[in-house]
Amino acid sequence: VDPARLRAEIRFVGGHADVWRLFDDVNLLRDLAAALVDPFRGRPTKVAGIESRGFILGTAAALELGVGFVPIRKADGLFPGPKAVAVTEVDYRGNRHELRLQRAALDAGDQVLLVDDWIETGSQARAAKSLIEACGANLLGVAVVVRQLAEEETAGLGTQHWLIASDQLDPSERA
Amino acid sequence: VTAIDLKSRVREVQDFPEPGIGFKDIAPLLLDPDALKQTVGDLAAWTLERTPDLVLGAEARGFWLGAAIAVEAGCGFVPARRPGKLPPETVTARYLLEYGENALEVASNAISQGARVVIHDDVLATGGTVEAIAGLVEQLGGHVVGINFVIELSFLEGRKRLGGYDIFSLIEY
Repeated sequence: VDPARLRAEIRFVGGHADVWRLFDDVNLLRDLAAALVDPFRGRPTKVAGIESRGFILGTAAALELGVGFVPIRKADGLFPGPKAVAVTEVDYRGNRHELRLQRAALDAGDQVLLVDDWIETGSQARAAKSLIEACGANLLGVAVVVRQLAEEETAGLGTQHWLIASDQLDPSERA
Repeated sequence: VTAIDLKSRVREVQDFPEPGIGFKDIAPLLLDPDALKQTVGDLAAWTLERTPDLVLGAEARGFWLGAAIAVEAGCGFVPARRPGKLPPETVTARYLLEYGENALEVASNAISQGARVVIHDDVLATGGTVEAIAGLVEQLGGHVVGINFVIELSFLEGRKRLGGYDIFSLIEY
């Protein structure tokens, strides 16, 4: 995916990034799903996505790879059965989130690719890793559209793949 | 290739979230690559016949398949989100649930005048959520050309409530 296209679509509104334009163009959506999984083809046995934006590209990425999709849910959604639970570190808004993964979703030895549109501090990815490992599976890597994370913050998160760095985005507000 | 019986990939959880309720969990369906592909393919084929410009999915479980259906049907994806999560400007619908109230928002510029929209959600229960979303689409000048679900709880008669719309579900209880 041409970074210029991502620069044009991801703009800032009131100081917050507006990522929704990524999804309303089918050609871009399709290209994003393929580009996110390309370096990993043949290796993941499952794709995981974190509620709720992580569900969007996550399922598209799983279909692209021909593997199953595993939702990681926050505290308030209905989510039955035995679960692994982890609490994230404080995020950029000063919040902690409880993340939950159904134990039946992963088998020992599963190689899991975590897909999202944006990785900011890595707090959710680290919590997801602990959930995946609590089920005996392995976090193979993280594939995101926008990476904001510093290099040293990715330790232990497996292979990192991103389509654009946040400092390459157009910081001006959308008109 | 023989079609998968998709109902066999839905896990029924008795007395969840309340005694007497049988919850339908589609996580096993998402986990099975062939069932996932068939589900998205079937919903996308129905969607494509309505020649939409957009597929709209409701947060959070409508995000599981909404974008994948849009990709397969060759149209863009637009979300309905919980309040405060979309950049301004938005339109908001409030609606009653069995216990309490909920609200969803759609970005005002996401749906242009005359846009053809298919709404997707995971489960059709009483129909209150998608009825509210359909109202937002129409408020913005769009046309709801269809509404589809993975599961329909037909005993709750959501289809009756959504009587004016073209409805499709893959699995019925």
